[in-house]
Amino acid sequence: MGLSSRKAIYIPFPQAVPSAYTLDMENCLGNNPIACGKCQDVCEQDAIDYDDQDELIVREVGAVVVAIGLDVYDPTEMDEYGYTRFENVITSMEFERLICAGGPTDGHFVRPSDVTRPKRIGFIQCVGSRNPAIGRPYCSNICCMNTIKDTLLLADHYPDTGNVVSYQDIRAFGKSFEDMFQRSKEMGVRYVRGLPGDIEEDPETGNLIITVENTTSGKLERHELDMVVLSVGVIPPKDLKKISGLLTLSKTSDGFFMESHPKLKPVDAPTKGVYFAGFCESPKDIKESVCQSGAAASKVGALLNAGEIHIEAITSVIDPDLCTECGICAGLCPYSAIVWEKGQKAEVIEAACAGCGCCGAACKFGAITMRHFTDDQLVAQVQAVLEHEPDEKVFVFACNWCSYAGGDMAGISRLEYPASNRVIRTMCSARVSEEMVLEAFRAGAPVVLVSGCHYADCHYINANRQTVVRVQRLWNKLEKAGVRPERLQLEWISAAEGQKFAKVMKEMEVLRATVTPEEIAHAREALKPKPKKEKVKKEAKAESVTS
Amino acid sequence: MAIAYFRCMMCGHEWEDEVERGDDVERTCTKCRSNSIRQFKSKPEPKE
Ligand code: SF4
Ligand code: SF4
Ligand SMILES: [Zn+2]
Repeated sequence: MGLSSRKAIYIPFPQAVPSAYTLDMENCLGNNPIACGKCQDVCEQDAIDYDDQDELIVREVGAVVVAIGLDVYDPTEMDEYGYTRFENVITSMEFERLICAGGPTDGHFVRPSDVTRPKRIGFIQCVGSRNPAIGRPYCSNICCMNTIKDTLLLADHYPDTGNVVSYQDIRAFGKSFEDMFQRSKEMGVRYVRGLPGDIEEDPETGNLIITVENTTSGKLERHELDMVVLSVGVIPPKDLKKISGLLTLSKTSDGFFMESHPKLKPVDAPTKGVYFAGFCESPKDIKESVCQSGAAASKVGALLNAGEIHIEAITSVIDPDLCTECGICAGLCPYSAIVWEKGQKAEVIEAACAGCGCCGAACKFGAITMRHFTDDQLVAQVQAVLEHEPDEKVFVFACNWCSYAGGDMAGISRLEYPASNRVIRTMCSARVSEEMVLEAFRAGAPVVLVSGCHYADCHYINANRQTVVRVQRLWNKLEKAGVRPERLQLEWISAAEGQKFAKVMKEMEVLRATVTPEEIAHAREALKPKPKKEKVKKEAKAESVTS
Repeated sequence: MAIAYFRCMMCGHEWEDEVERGDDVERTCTKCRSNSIRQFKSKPEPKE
């Protein structure tokens, strides 16, 4: 942090685990032992080897726990708070160092500009958190309680300090947290609901002035302070991208790792055998991190001690005789479960396949079979559903986890919606191929709805993005064929959105009523599969020979 | 950054927005909340 100097051999921080020294190779003179080499002389364990080099260690493992932590938000970009302009504006991390007995001032809390003890300290909350304007809309989870703890520390060490905390909301929901908050208030800390627009400095005294609209009292408050602490948020660690590439992990819109399921599998990564512990999955405090780490360790133990693993029967298989080695499927699999190299047949690693069916819908050569959701099975369902009075029906493809469950929710909630819909379930909306949708129109469906999970809920990392690509392509195709593209609809409906399911079904019924028998007949004709060129040529040739 | 054009396939509402390559955005119509959002690279012909 640049608050003090350290030696070329040091323990990273007092509570570091393991509590071992590390060499700062940029500043160590030991590389040339003639110049120094003192630490090697005094180390009785002979633990120092200046010639030791970084090396790549390859290990085969059965499971991986990702616990790469967090980075702290740098408030430089929020220039209104003057972090780089005013010496007495510090971050909460710098506060920790200044008040720490092992810190640069031996725990004597002083302000940087004149090394005197500040008597009026302001804390500004949510710096870099809950702020969509700077691309950080999420709550960092720990900053409110950290500030409350800091105010209690100050009250304990320096009872004569007057502290002001400027906040949006105080989130004190953990065990004993509310108690700490109340204690802080009883100690005289002023909590002002509202954030200042900026900070000004009195150049003579180095004091800082904040003006806040107290949204509780409706009054404007002006505070002159000796020091301001920016309660900075946390951000995803910078190595997250690298690790996500290595382990095929995906991120939520906040930039943290996405878990397999937010409620039921909060420790598992969507990639089998990978687990999360701590902040890299989402902002959380020490207690939650410890709980998650324990859960991850138990999961690893259960996996490795089981002796054998059970996989879902719903996986894809590739027929090497039909595979043309195009590699499209390998590029689309969210789990990197398909091995393919140029000039080679693609192959599915069944233990890694999650069974979304995205590859099956993408293979134009019919080389991929999704067990239990084969093309033949699904097309047969489409045809059976639309065999009688297809013009009366709204044809719905619903994904297993969200939209199908949303339909269930609508039913359980006794919500009313038109009875015209006929739902076919696939594991993921990405299983729905273009051909299946066209087949429904060919069979006379007036309206086809493809529905799946919301982006953040996709149970197959991000397979449903392929659904969007296909529906976009289909809209173009339908338009080209003179079929009204609006007859194909797309909706994201979560398992909890029974209301939305019912609303969408009502809208579909209204849309269905606008589709004329002529339109249905035209679509049946216009979307007929075109015979393959070679086939046409061969047939023409055969005909000319026989005639 | 590029400009893309969007049309809601449920209510017909049209708008344009900045998009970046690799954007991962769930799109919703601001008028009717539908997710049937068709994207165009250039301004689409007005619907008759
Ligand atoms: S998409 Fe089909 S043809 Fe292409 S590599 Fe995969 S299995 Fe083979
Ligand atoms: S079904 Fe899904 S997870 Fe399995 S190989 Fe195909 S794309 Fe990958
Ligand atoms: Zn709309």
